[in-house]
Amino acid sequence: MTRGARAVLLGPYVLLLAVFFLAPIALLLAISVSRQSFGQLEWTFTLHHYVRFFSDAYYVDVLGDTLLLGAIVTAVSLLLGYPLAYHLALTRSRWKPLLIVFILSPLLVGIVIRCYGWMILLADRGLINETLGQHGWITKPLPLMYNKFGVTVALVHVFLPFMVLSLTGVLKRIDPQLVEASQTLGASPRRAFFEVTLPLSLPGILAGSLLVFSLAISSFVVPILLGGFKVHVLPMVVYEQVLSVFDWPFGAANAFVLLVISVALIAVYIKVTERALRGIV
Amino acid sequence: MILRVSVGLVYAFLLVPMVIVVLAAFNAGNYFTFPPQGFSLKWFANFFQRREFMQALWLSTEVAFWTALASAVIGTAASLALVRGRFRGRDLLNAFVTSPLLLPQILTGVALLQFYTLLNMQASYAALLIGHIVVTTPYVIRTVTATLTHFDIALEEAAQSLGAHPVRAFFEVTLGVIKPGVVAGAIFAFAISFDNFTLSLFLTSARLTPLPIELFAYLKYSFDPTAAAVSAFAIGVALVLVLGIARFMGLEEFTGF
Amino acid sequence: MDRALEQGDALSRAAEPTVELRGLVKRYGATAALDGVSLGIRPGEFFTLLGPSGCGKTTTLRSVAGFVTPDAGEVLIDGAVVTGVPPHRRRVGMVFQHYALFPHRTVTQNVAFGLRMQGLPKPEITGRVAEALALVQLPDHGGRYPRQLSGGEQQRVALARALVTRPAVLLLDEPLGALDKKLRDHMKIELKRLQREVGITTIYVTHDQEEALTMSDRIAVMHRGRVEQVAPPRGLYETPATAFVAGFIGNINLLAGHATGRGTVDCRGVKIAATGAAAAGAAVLVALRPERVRLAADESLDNRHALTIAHVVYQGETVRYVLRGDTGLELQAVELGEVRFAAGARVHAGWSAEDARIVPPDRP
Repeated sequence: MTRGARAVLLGPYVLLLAVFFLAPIALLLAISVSRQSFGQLEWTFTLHHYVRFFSDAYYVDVLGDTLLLGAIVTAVSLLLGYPLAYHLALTRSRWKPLLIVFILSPLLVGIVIRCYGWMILLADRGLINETLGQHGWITKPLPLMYNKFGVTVALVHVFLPFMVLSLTGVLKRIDPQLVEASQTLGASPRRAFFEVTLPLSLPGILAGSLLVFSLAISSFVVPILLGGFKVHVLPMVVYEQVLSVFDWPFGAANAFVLLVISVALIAVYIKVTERALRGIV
Repeated sequence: MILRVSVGLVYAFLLVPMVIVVLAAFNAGNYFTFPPQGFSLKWFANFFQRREFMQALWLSTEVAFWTALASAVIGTAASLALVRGRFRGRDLLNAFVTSPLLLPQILTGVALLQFYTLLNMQASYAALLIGHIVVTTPYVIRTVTATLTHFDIALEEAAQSLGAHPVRAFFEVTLGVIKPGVVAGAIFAFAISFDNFTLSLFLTSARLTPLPIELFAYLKYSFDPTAAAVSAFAIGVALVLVLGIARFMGLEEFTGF
Repeated sequence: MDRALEQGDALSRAAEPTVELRGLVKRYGATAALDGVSLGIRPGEFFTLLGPSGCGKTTTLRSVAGFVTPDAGEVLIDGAVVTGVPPHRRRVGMVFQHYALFPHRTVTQNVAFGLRMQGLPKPEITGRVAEALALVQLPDHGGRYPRQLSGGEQQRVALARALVTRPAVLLLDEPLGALDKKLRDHMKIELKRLQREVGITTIYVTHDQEEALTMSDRIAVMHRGRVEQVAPPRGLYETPATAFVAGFIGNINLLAGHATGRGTVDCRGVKIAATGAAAAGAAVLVALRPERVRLAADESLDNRHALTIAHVVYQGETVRYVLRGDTGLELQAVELGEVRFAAGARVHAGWSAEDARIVPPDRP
């Protein structure tokens, strides 16, 4: 392919990204180190906002809560997602496309609707509480929503497909003859799983976990809808600062902290997936 | 055996919220009770009668359509350039081109909002459209690349040896063969744009509201089953789109397993 | 080199078979991968399953390993019925086509795996692993990973891993397929030497008849899920029992005709003196090796026919002649050395009745 042709084909998108993606992010960084007075931006250089962020206990707590929430969501997603991925990778049933539909359609349905479904289920006067109350099994409604529990459940639900997709790809590439070989050497199916399949799927576990963690700490729709305004996460602070308080520099600084963490995670994720594709011959 | 049961439970977990929403949409009465109290379409009627929902639906569909079209064209072109021929910096370019996929949408949203405001084009149709194109094109690139790598370039060369100009050979031969990937990518782009929330939140205003944002605003303050009808409608759309992808590209190839 | 001894005639025929297969049947949908396979493999024997792809040889091997459960029939190892026993509880060692070495484990860990599963104490494991690696001549490779080894080395590790657990039978699934020609020839000798030294009963699967002929004590030729013939290599070559076996092993003439019931077969009007039983009038094939056809033959041979040379093919070491009779009968002859006749020449082609064997035609 000639260089000219390549430029014509690739040019539009690269240009689009450079102007409407790279530039805005660079701008974000610039704003995060600037000052604002009376709604007007002054282009200076100051680390005031970052200092403010890390010295205020409230914001540090929010960061800590966000990371902890991310970790819990990741762990639960892994626990639920691994059996699913294992089954999907190894099944030869003709229902397989249907199972893929089950995993993909939540992704295509949109986050607000999925939250709504959980709200119906978990609210104080929601389906679960009403049903349990009607049968006389509880006297007070269980607090399933507007707290960390509800947020965690919904976040797991939203990001589980990503975990499954990451894991299935890796699991599928494991040579089935490796498991067979271990069996001829005396390993029971259970032992074969722990000795062969699990270690070889580690790159997938890592990749899936990084992905889900990164997505979970950036989510703010779920914490808002399912947490009321009682669960505070970093993305929510960003949203508030930018769209309510209009303190753009501070909001930008918050966003940038989140960005740095995300980018770091993504970089590791890319490294891990590259190695995974090379390691399992 | 245990595997089958636990897998079944997890699938149930994945599907229950959506099933609940659909049930609530058709429920005649108070949707908190189980079993449901009768069948009714009144919430759908309400949905289709409310102007803000209909305007939002129209906007979402229109934006999604143009987004899908634009990202299909731009993405296929980019994919062609990336798959064919080795050149320096290809890996880097590859990473760059798919980077919007990896960045959380809230960050893209905030960055774009601040960028657009500086250019005084915030909350405009163009702003919304461009934002959507930026985040959906990587998906098109991914699916088209997957199809292209299976494509045997000898087909194009054969067309050229029979007298077809390279560009003609592309349109006559290559495009026909990679069509599944392009269409599947476009459908996926449509879905992402139609359901897009986080990014759009920063790019819209009271006058320019897509359906998910309208729904979100509605949900912040009320639990009216009309919201369930809106959601059920969107779920229907999503299912149609998934079937579209299945028909054109096959779900196993699309997901890579 | 005394071929008779090489083929293992010294093996006791009275010993119980190490592996016995009785009437194995396996269906996949409408296809019968195994259609009544019965075999007995003797202790210490190098037994090969030979056939084209799809003939059922790999399915048979996997039935012995336990990865395939037959729909009917029994598998016995050392006299005990193991049909239905899962693979990890059978005492088999298996070398897979692409070796299946655990990529995340070192060579030592790979070889030690089976011993670990048996729960042996560490010192014993270390000793036996060292022994096994020495056996395959890779004593210093313990710390390496499979990806750091060449194809030939990987195969030897796979062998060591399978043998170290002292299984009752060693199963090899086309192990030489992935190697280049030179390495393959070398490994054939190596494998055979190893098998002799260890004395383990071995079942070897291949589609390459040359491999089978050079390495095996006995060969079972399989075709469409059935065993066509079991015999030592020489027996298969010289006295094939069916048309398929005749055609699969080496080059052969297969002349179609009808038996006269008096020791001759009528092929397109030409009466051929042949060996083998056949009812008068039955449609049969005469299997005749091209190298057994003498040209410009003298009167003493049972068969002597005047034929015209249709083609001459110079093959370097040998010369191949395609001969045609006046009634349309066609056959090939092969000679060593120089080209003696030109196309168009008329010759007397002759062969003994011993070399013309009657075989039933292939089943439809």
